Amino acid sequence: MSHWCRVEGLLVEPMGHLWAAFSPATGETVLLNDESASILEVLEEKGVADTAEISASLVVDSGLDVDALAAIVESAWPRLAEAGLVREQPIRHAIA
Amino acid sequence: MTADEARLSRPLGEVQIAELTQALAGNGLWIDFGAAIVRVQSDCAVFAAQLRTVYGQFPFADQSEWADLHVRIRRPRGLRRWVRPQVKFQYDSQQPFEPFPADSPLPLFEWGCNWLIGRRLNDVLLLHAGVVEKGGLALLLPATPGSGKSTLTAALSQRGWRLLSDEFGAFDPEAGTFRAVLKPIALKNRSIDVIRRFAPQAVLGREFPKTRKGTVAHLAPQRDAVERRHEGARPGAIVLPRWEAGSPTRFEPLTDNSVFPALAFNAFNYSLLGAVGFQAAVRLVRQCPAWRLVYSDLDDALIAIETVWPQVVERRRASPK
Repeated sequence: MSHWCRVEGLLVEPMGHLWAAFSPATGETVLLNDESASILEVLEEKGVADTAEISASLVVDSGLDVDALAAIVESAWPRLAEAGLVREQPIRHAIA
Repeated sequence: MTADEARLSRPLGEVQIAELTQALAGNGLWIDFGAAIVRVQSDCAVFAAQLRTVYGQFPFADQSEWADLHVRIRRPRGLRRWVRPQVKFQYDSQQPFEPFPADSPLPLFEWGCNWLIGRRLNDVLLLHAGVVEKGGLALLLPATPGSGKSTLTAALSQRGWRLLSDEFGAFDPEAGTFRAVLKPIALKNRSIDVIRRFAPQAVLGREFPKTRKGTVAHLAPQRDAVERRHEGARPGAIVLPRWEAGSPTRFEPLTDNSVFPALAFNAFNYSLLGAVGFQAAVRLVRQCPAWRLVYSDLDDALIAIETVWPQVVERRRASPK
């Protein structure tokens, strides 16, 4: 399973019922929903995490079961990566 | 005051056309917009009179030590000097646009300067917005072309609000204030007559038909706005205007997530400023209450704004940072 981390210098701010995120990697700003912002928040705490770890962290707050959450988190990675908000960590770094 | 100081302290509107023409043909004319100074030279005979009308309250300066922008409005050589004559805009020896008809140097100058300011003024977050001020607080009017931003900005400037800019919301992230980029307001098509009726005392330049934006006429900034063009304004409120024919006035509060894109994704240099631009846009959204204003009647629109303005002032008084 892939491990992910936030890009360095990422800025995330609540913006009404959405979130605004600025990626220094791409220089672009995107608006995020709560699910994406939650993933980034957990990554900020953990540094590096995979889908299972993120889902486990969010299960209490979300009220969803862990499988449903895992599907949401897994589907979010490509969009977050494309927006320059997260990057995949080589596995040796994740273990270290 | 020395004779030279007296000569230079005159408003441009009081300078003889011959003297202006001579300055333009010589060292040039320095016009201080507030956040930027332009030096303009020209060999175009009608340009002096057009400038004098709409920059009439600006101080006359035919010498200075500094200019941010150096531009020339020139008549081309060759056949175009005589057959359907034209004028061209040059900066740093480059000519970025197609020439305009020879009788239209002012719209070319205005358009070219705006284009240059949009590319060069990168020590501020340059929002595409009108800005007016009252009581030290700025009212920001971000909008897309055709939304009625210029008409509303012009109307406010004629009813006790100080004009900072019709085109550029120049937010200085370090100072936390808007800076003036004070230039004449380019009114287009029906807006020209709307403002003539709304403010018969307003000084408008001649109409230029058949520009890319239709007929354009420029509204001259008033003396107070010119005299205070180096005075900033703290963020006060944001109003997103939209003119709709026949619409009753609607004034609705906006959520932060509606306002943020209207600022950040409608700015000239947001991407260029990177994190600084992001943080500045976030700060403005946090500090300023925002509304959407749909209008067709200018008087009604101004009443709507004036009605909420005491709330804006009170909010800033309670939370000055």
